[in-house]
Formats: sequence, C-alpha cells, structure tokens
Amino acid sequence: MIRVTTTRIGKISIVLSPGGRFAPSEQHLLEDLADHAGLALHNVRLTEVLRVRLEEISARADALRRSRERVETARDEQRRKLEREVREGAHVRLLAIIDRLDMAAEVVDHHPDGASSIMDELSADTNATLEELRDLARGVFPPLLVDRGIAPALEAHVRKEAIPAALEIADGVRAHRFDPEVEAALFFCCVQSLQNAARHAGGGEIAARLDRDQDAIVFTVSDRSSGLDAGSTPDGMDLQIMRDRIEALDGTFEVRSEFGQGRVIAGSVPALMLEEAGS
Amino acid sequence: MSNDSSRSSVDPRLEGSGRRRLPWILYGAMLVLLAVTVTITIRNGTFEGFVAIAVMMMLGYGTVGALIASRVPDNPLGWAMLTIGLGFVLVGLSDETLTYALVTKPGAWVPLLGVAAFLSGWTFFLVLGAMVLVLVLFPTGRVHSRRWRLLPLAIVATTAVSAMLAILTPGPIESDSDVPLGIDNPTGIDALEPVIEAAWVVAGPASLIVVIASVIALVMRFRKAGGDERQQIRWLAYLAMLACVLFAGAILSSIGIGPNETRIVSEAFFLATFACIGIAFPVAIAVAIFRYRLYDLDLVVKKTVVFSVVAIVLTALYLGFVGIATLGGVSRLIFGILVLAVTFNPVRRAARSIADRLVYGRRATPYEVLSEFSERMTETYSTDDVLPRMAQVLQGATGATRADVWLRVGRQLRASASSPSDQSSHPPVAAADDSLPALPGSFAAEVRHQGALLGALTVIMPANDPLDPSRERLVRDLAAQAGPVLRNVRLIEELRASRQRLVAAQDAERRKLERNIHDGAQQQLVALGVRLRLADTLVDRDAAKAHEMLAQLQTETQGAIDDLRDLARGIYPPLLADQGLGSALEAQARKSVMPVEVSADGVGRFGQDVEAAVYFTCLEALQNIAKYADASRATISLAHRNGSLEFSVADDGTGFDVTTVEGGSGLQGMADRIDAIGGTFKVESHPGSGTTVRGTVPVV
Repeated sequence: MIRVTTTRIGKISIVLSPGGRFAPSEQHLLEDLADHAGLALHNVRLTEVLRVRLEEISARADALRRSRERVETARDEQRRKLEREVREGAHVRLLAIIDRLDMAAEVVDHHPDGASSIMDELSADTNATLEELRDLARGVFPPLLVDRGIAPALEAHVRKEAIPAALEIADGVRAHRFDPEVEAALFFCCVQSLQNAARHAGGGEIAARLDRDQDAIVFTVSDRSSGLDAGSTPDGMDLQIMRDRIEALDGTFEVRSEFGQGRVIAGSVPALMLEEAGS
Repeated sequence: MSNDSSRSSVDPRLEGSGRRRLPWILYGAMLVLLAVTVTITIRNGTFEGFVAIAVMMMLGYGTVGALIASRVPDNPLGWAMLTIGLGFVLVGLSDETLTYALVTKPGAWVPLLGVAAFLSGWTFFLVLGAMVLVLVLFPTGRVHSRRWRLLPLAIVATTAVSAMLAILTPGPIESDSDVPLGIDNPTGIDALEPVIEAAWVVAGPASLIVVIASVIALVMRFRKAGGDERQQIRWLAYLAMLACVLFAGAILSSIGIGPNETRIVSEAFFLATFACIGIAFPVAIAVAIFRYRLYDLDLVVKKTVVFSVVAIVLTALYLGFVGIATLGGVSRLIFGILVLAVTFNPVRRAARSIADRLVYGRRATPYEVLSEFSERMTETYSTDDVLPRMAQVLQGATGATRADVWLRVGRQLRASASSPSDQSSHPPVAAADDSLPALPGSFAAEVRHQGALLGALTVIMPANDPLDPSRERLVRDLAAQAGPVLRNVRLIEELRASRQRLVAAQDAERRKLERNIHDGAQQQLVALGVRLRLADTLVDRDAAKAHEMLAQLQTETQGAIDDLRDLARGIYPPLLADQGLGSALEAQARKSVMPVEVSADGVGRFGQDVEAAVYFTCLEALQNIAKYADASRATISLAHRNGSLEFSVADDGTGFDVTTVEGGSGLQGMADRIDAIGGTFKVESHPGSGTTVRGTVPVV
C-alpha cells in the first residue's frame, strides 16, 4: 500500500513465481519502497492539480481581458450614440432656428405688427433647444452629480424622467461625498437599472436603495416584473456593461431574478469618504 | 554540523554573563549528584519504578529549568525548576545515604550521617514548594493578576513553616523505602512535640489549601489568556487539574487503610500522581517552549536537547553498565563498554532528528517541503491569498525570521507579501533591466518565467542559524515553482488595473464633454435667447435695428451650429464612420498647424472598435505632439500586414526619456486602449531625437 500521510493513493503489487515466498526482509524493503513512492507520486499528482489550477487562473485572466474589452467597446458605442443625438437633435433644431430668424427679419421689415408671434415662436424654439442640450449634457454627465453628489443627482433624475420608483438613500450615503469614479459608477448603474426596470416592469413597483456598509456602498434596485431570466432579456448587454464597470472598481454585482417574483439588481462598491472640507 | 553540536552547545552560553553560566554549573552538579545517588540506590537494592520516575523527573525539571534560567535569568521560573531538580536529588541522596550507612553497610560513612539526616527532613518541602510556585508563576515569572499577588508569598510561607517544622519534629526518620532506619531526627526538639504536632495539624491543611489555590490560579490564567499564551499554558493547566484528580483519587482510595497496609489501587494512584507531576509537567513546559516559542527558545534549544538526550541516554547506559558490572565479571565490563561505544553515534543521530522534529515541526526533508508548497498553491487561486501563502511556506520551510515575496511591477520590485504578515514592508527596489537587483535579506532567489524576471523570494535568517547549501537549494527550487504562479498573479493584477484606468478615463472624458457642451453650445443658446427677447422689444420701437439684430443672430446661430458640429466630430467624427481611418486622419492632419503627412497605403475598413481605438490613439498622439514636442513635422503611417493593422505617429521634436515618464501624458491611456482590443503598444523616444508612438492590432 502506498500512502501519503494516511491517504491511500496507490498500490504496488508483486507476483511471485509459483512456490515463491516473501522473506521478511523483502517485505520490509517493499514497505520502504512504498513509503518513498508515496511522496513521489503525491508530488506528481500535485503537479497535475497545480497545472489545472493554473489553467483556471488563465481562464480568469481571459475573463478579465474580455471584460476590459467590453469596457472599451461600450465607451465607443456611447460616443457614437452621443454624436448621433447631437446631430439629429440640437443640430437640426438650430438649423430650423436660422431659417426662422430669416423669416422673422422679413416679417419685421414688412409687417412689424405680426412680428410678435414669430418672435415668440423663436423664443420657444431656442428654449427647447437649450433644454435638449441640457438633457444631453446631463445624460453625458450630470452637473448635479459633480457638484452635490449621488443623492441629489439621482433624485433629480428620477423626478425629471418621471420614473415610478421609490428611492431610499441612507444618511450615510447622502451626507458624504465619495471618490468621483465611485459616485459616477453608482449613479449610472442605478440610472441604467431604473431605466431597465421601468421598461419591462409593466407598471409594477420599482424600488432603489443605497446604503453604507462599513467601507462600501450597497445598492439595490428591485422591481416586480414578470421576472424573466436575466440573460434572455434585451437588458443582457446593459447588465454586462454595469457588471464590468462595477467590477472594475473591485465591487460586486449580481442579478437575482425569479419567475413571477420580479428582479433584483444588487451589488456593492468599496467607497471611502472624501474629506468634507472644500467639497 | 553534527560534529560540533556538543561543542557549540556550550559556546553561546559562555558568551553571556556569569549568570547564564550558573544554571549550567548547577545542572552539572545535579547530574553528578544524581549519578552518585543512583549508584547508591542500586547498592541499597531499593531501585524500583518509583525511583526511575524520580530520576526522569529530576532530569526533566533540571534540564528545562537550566535552559530557562540561562536564557531568561530574571524569570524565577527557571531557578524554581532547577531547585526542584537539585532539591529532589538531595532528597534522594540524603535518603539513600542514610539507608546505606545504617542498613546496607552499617558503619560506613558515619561522618556524613549528620548532614544526610538533616537534609532528609526538609528538602522535600523545598521541592514541593518550588513545584507549586512553578504552577503559579508559569510562564511569565509573575502572577497573572494583582488579586493573586499574595499567593506566592503564601507558598513561600507555608514552605518555610513546613520545613522548619520538619527540622524540629522529633522522632525517628522515615525512609521512603519503608526500611526502618533506626535513627532519630538530629535537630528534633522533644520538648516542643505537642506544639509541633498542633502546628502540623494547621500546616497540613494550610498547605493543601495553598496547593489548590495555585492550581486554580493556573487555570484562571489559562482562561484569561489569549492567543499564543493560551497555547503555551494549555497543557500545563490540563495536567495540573489531572494531577489534582489523581491525588484526590489516591486520598480517597486510601481511606480506611491502617498504617502498615497498602492498597494496590491507592499505590497506583499515588504513582500516577507522581508521574504526572514529575514527568508530565516538565514535558508540558518543554512543549510550550518548543512548539510555541516560549522565551524565544528555538534554535539554541535544539542543540541543548541533543546534548540532554545524549546525556540522559549515557546516564542510562552507565546505570545499565553499573548494573551489569555489579553482577560481576570482566567480560560483562567489556561488554558494557562495547555497547556504549557502538550505541553512541546512532543515539546521537536519533537524538538530533528527534530534536529537529521537535523544534522545526514538520520541516523534515526538502522534498516534503516542496510537496507541501505545491499543495498549498493548489488550495487557492484567489490572487489575494496566493502570495501571502507562498511567503508563509517559504518562512516555515527555511526557519527564517522573515520571508518576502517580491513582485516586479513596472520597473520596480515590490515586496508584495511577507511572513510574518504583521511586519512593515520593505520599500520598493528599482530593477531597471532584467537582472536581479540587491535585495534586503540573507538570501535571494529570483523568480523567472520564460526568461523574464517576474520577482524574487528573499529570506532573513536568524544569526545562529544561517542558510546551509541544502536550504539554499530549497529556496531556489521554490522560486522555480513560483514562476507560473507569479506570472498569473501579475497578469491578473495588470488587467484589473488597466480596466480600472479605462473606466476612469471614460468618466473623465464624459465630464469634460459635459463641460464643453455647457461652456460652448449651451452658453451660446442662452445668449441667443436673451438677444431674441431684446430684439422682440425693439421690433415695436425701432424696426430697422431689430432687423439688424436678427441678422446678427443668424450669424451667431450659425456659429453655434459650427461649434456643435465640431463638438460632435470630436466625440465621434462622422468621417471615421463613413470613410474609415485614412480619411478621418487626413481631415485631422489638415486642421493641424504644422505639416502632418498621412500615409494610409490603401488601408481598408475594419471593425468599429478597432478603427475607434486606433483613431483616438493617433489623435491623442497628435495632440501630445502639438502640446509638448515642439516639432516641425509629423508623420502618421498605417499599414495592413500579416493579419494586423500597424500604425505609427512620429515627430521630429524634442523627444523625452521613456524611463522617467509614467502615464500622465496619456501614454498609459493609449496603451490601455490598444491593449484592451488585444493589440500591442510601444513608445520610442530619446531626448533630442524625436518620438514615435507605434502599435499593432490584430484584425481578421
């Protein structure tokens, strides 16, 4: 019997010629041999297990690589989207404004009395364009997030977009400022989650919570949707991007969904408070 | 190393003060007296199991006591244990001398009778008192809480009183072996007999109370202790309680026996109690020392243990030899000498390996260590765990006071894990090229994988146990095994860091963009709104002026449109999406102040992420040139070769020292971006000879 410590890992068998016998000294020799063999075989086995483990580490490295690639790709996607929004939104409106200015100039020349209505329209157009640009900018990066932090920014967003969600932000989160990357990640993650929830919740209750847990901020966005499997919805890509972003900050991210029970997006991000002075 | 163990076991202690020498002198005296006592005992024919246990007890207490007293002379514990050993030898010696002089060979050694008789009375109490004191003082040499501070005094007091009473008790002296000696206590005072009897009635229970209190004190100390100290005290505490139980059993089972009867059960209990106190206690203390590093006794112990074990075995052999010799015959004498000569070396080797095992634990053979290392590595692949575990195994394997695992990060070697883990870490060491720099420690082994230096393993050894060649080889073998592990740890750490940088860069970009939109288009529109209102009021009053204003507003609005278009192009140029890298980069080149040549060499279209990454990298490179390089011209080249898109941006400007710049100028961001899509990125530059930023990206 070959053993390492007390685990049997193998056996040495000897076939004697008929009539042959084993002398006690030979038996001792065999037992010694088994002892030494034990250690050698154990090492071989361990080397094999080590190789498997290293493969697992490599797989993990690959997963990281892919995650990083996704982060970069998402960035480009968003840029394209933004460019399109500008081109098709504010840009178009401004062109329309120029035309109208042209018209207004003529009206002023010939029918000064009728000018007021067109002037009003022009003001309205300008305001609308301004609003649109403000929305655009807010979508890119809300100034409120930079100036006052997650809580005001998130509340403003929910209000503005009229998202039917109950927002609960703990004092520990509200009262402090954190690293800008953390605030941005949490904000966009919540915004995206709320958007997804609103899209497929079908009017059910949506709730979002932010809490402090020692040196981390914990977030939860839950809805009472029909609870389709997370991977099959069109949200899949969005969830993946959120996960990448949160994990890039050494946070955790999970999606729990049960059929008929709704869905919960939850996670935590390590977050250290910034000094109050000056922020 | 094995040849000078007996010499070197003396040297370190001779270097110390005389105080450190004293315990060993006393120990030597004890051994001599012990040998003499045993000889006499054999001659008396009273050698029995009890005596054998007594011998082991004396050796146990004496050795451990001498060890502690020489190492920490301020701690009374060591001296107390030495007292036990010496005291008990004196008890035995005096008793056996009396027996010899009065029974075995009456008339011999008459001058010694008085001394022996005197000693035999009270030395026993000395031993008893010292033993109880050990229980109370272990291991710090002081009581563990102020509430118990009177207990040592109580112990000393009861011991002194008992000893005094023993000295003064009149009547015949009793021998342990129940052989009537026929001699009275020379210092006994008959007149005080009733007083002394009464005093014994008090002193007896008082001593019992003190003993019980001491055991309780020890148990309380154990319960209050934490961590290492708890482990150190554990065995002694348990054994003390066991001894109490055994003693209670002995007392209970001897109820109702007459003065001359004996009962086997009660004898057995007494023997067990004695064995527990005599042998198990010093062993428990020894275990606390070896296993749990009490008094930092580690290395020095090993050699002393060798010495002691050899001494014990030699003593035993001598006893055997004497025993055989007393049976007569020169042949037996010769036989005895031969046995001694033959068994010396194997005994010494066996003693050494036992000592090794005791001191180093499982650190047996290098092969086993390597095996354990692999085992440890397979248990975890969490990168946070791997390096600390490696350091632990390294420290355990070599017996180092400190072991570090260094990881190469950029152009530095950083001490990423050390064991023990509560130490402050070494500062990073620069490692400019691929060779191992000088690292703090007694020995360093570099870790390489596929030729590249990944890190190093270093150990700091204690002064009295430097590395020998076999352990150096062990460290090198461990370093060889560590290669793939370090490579993967590094890889994962780099990837995580890169991903984090990308996310941070994104956020920064977005904030900047938002500011741009705010400061540019938004402001312009606000101004537009204001002017419109103004024009509105003018319409009624001054139509011509209003007209003028409206015309002006048209121009301004056109300006806003242009700015917005530029902004959009900056976010993502439509030209890139529509016509590809060549055209987009040419458009940027045209905008530049200095001449920029673009050679796209008929490069076609690629995936969106590839084109975006290469475009923005080249754009940032151009911006860097405009900002820092003070160049007169720049060249952008693109080529599609061997399944890769190769790009480079070169200028003839001032250049810079690549080794000093670490990120900041956006180089890191560019590297991350290209890396993220699976490409390679390189910066070549020398002060005075321009800069070239170069990369390749795999394309299908």
